[in-house]
Amino acid sequence: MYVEMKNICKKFGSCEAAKGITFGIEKGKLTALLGPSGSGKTTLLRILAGLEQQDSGDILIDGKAVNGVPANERGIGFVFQNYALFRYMTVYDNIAFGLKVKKMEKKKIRERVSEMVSLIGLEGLEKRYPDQLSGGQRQRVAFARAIAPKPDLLLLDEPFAAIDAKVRKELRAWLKEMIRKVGVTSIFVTHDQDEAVEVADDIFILNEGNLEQTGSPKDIYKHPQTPFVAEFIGTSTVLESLTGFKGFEDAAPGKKAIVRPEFVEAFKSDNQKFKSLLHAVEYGTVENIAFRGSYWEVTLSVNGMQLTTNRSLERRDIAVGEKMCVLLYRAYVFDGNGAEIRKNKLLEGVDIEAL
Amino acid sequence: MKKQSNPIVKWILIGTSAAFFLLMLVLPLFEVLYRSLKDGWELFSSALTAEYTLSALKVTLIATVFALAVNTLFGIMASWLLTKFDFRGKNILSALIDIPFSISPVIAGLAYIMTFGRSGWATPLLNQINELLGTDLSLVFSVPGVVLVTIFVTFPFISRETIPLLNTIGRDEEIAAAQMGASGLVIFRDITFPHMKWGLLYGMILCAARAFGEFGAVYAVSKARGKTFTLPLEIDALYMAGSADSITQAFAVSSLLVCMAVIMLVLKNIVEYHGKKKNAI
Amino acid sequence: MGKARVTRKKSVIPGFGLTLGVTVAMLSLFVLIPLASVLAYSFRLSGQEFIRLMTRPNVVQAFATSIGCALAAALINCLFGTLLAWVLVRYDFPGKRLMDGMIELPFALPTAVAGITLTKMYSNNGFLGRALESVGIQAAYSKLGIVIAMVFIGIPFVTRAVQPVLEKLSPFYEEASMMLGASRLRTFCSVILPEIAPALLTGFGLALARGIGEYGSVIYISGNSEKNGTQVVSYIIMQKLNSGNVDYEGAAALALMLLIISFAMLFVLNIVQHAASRRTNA
Repeated sequence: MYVEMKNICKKFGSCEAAKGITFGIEKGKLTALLGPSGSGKTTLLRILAGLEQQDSGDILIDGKAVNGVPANERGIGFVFQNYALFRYMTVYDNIAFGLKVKKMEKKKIRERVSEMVSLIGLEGLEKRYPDQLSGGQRQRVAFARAIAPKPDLLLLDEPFAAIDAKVRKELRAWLKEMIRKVGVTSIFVTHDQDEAVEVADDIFILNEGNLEQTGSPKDIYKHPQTPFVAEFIGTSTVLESLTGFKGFEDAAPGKKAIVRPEFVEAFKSDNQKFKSLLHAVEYGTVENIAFRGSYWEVTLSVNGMQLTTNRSLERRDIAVGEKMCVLLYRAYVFDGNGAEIRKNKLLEGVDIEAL
Repeated sequence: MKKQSNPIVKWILIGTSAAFFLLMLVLPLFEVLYRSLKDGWELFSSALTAEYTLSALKVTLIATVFALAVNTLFGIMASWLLTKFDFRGKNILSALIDIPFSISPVIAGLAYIMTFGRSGWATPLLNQINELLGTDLSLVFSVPGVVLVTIFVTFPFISRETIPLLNTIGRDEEIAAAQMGASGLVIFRDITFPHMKWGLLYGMILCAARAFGEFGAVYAVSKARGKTFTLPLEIDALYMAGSADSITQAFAVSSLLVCMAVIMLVLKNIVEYHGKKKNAI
Repeated sequence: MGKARVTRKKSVIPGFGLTLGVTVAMLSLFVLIPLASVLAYSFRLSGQEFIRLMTRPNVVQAFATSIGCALAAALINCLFGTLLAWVLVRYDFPGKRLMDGMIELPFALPTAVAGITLTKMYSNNGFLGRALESVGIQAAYSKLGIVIAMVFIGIPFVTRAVQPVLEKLSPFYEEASMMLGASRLRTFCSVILPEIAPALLTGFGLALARGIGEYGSVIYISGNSEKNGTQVVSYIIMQKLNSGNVDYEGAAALALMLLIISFAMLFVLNIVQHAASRRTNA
């Protein structure tokens, strides 16, 4: 493990931002710390950077404990949430700052800065001030400033928060590409699951100062281990109980279940494709239809419970109040120990993926 | 913003404020000039070149320069402390700094007399130091005393301007620089100072204006005309002498201070203009 | 994480020790220690002596004059200060830049200069004084004179406190109120006034504190007559330092009393202001 945090605890007054967090990150990986606001993710990042002091626990970077090492001696590059670009310095001076502080030779500084400027594609803008740049350009400068001194570890605090939605998508791909090019081990903090899924190799999910789950984006999506993760990742509906549904009669009563839109199929009763599955169907009423750009989000009332499914625009039109057949393929069922996937018993032997 | 308001109301309001403005602020300026020149140029120039006036001018400038130097240093230190760190007692400290702003200048003078005056508790200490160094320093009824009370009354002037300014700017840039390993001096010089310079200059102008105009506090600790008097005290002495000529001379010396005040106002507006332009980023 | 921190959070920014040391040292040396001497000195009087001093007719009179005139002047300044701020923010007219630039004149103009000038303007050999006298009003050497001087020195406090708030106040507020059919006056009282109230209170408090302690601009125009009740507290303190029989203990006791009154007023204003600003920020 390249970066290790062992049993990190941190309190702010009565608020526990980290309750004994332990994890390790391999060299060269791009990791996302994902969680809702107040989950302690930024605090954890700042502790790793040395900007905050943990109450207890150890931090190791490359096998060396850095507990007492001040922030500026940890060899970490940090991209701040609002970039914290130096407003009274040009792009050039911003990127050169860390190198000047290190007392690098003037000539080498110039070389490194121009290397950085061409890496981030801002040639010709070296003389501009931060207020003369767009949000995306500022982020690029912040990135270049952080990696110019060749840090061993790059930390980014909500790197996309200050950018408007349209540019954000572009920048995600750009950042991933850059980090791969530079090859620096990186950790970024985000509250946006799409961002984490798209950019990171590994995702660490935090909630209320606890590390809920770690794994690859796909892993986390497919196998959530806690109700929090199942609910937080992807869109989902929480059901109080599954026992009312056909094929789930043996589900223990009282256990909550989480259902994703893709676990639900709704079709008209004359649909030929699903003819063979009618024995597993519940009947529901369409309560709401919302246009989501590339699909319809359909809310159905089934047995007094609400389920949501996505419907392709290519399919036949439906209307609010219409009765439909509803098929529930599977669900996540939770108890105190963790989550398990329950499949619809009546569909055993049916190749669901082929539908 | 300026559309659809009733023109009658508008001009009544403008007229009232203009009348108040002329009566309270502009008229006194002309009154000073009129009274200083009404008995002729000769009296005016003789008042300005009198030995007492020149001595007072010198003391005034000394006090102003010292107050500026001390308070600028203090302003920089205090605003760094109060805007870059969180610590216990921060609110109390910032309230204490503002004390001189809200108390009578007479009390400032009194405070120094009671500390360093003939029966002040620090006087024996001061005498010992004087003996040790072979000096003859007195901190009241002397030029150093005038300097000290001037520092007192202008003490919060600069920090009052720079602290709110730095607070709105935040400390992200400083943290970023420190994280990259910059020293305190480099952070201040390259990052904080460019942000605060206009506010600093603005505070220095207000400080200077108050310093050369201070009366009550200095009056309490300065008794020797021609030695420790400042311009405002000289004006008082001339005015209190009561003869028509001396009153005119008092206004002549006043006109000198009016000029200094107007210069300060112009400087203040220039600095304010630049500061606003910079912060519009 | 904006949680309240009781002790200092370890910061990466350097310089805490240095700036704390210098700040506290300078503050103590130049301000706190001298002020503590006033406190120490005033305790040399026994309780009885203190009470006897405070209940002397001229002392009571002086406190009444200082506080009363400062209150009146601060109230007048609230009115005209807000008006000036309003006109400067909302209207365009010739001379606006000049007016805006000159608001701080009373800060820049030495108080002694202001004092003698106002005295001459309002005394019976000045044209304003003569005009007022012809309608039976004596301005100089009366309480009215003191108020005039305090209005002069206090006006920038109110204008400069209110002006930035008015500048930031969105005109939509007013437009919303007008659209709902409120009259101009109603709009001002119920929409704008609550918004500027905290700033107005700040300005009022500063002008009041300045007025209560004022010396230079007041002592000439007041005439300092015990008979007319135009002695202010600062004048009485100064007298105790100057006249043949120097009375430091008495001066210190009066100063202490003045300090207590000023701080009590600022404290009360702070509380009121806190309550007012909580409502507008909600």
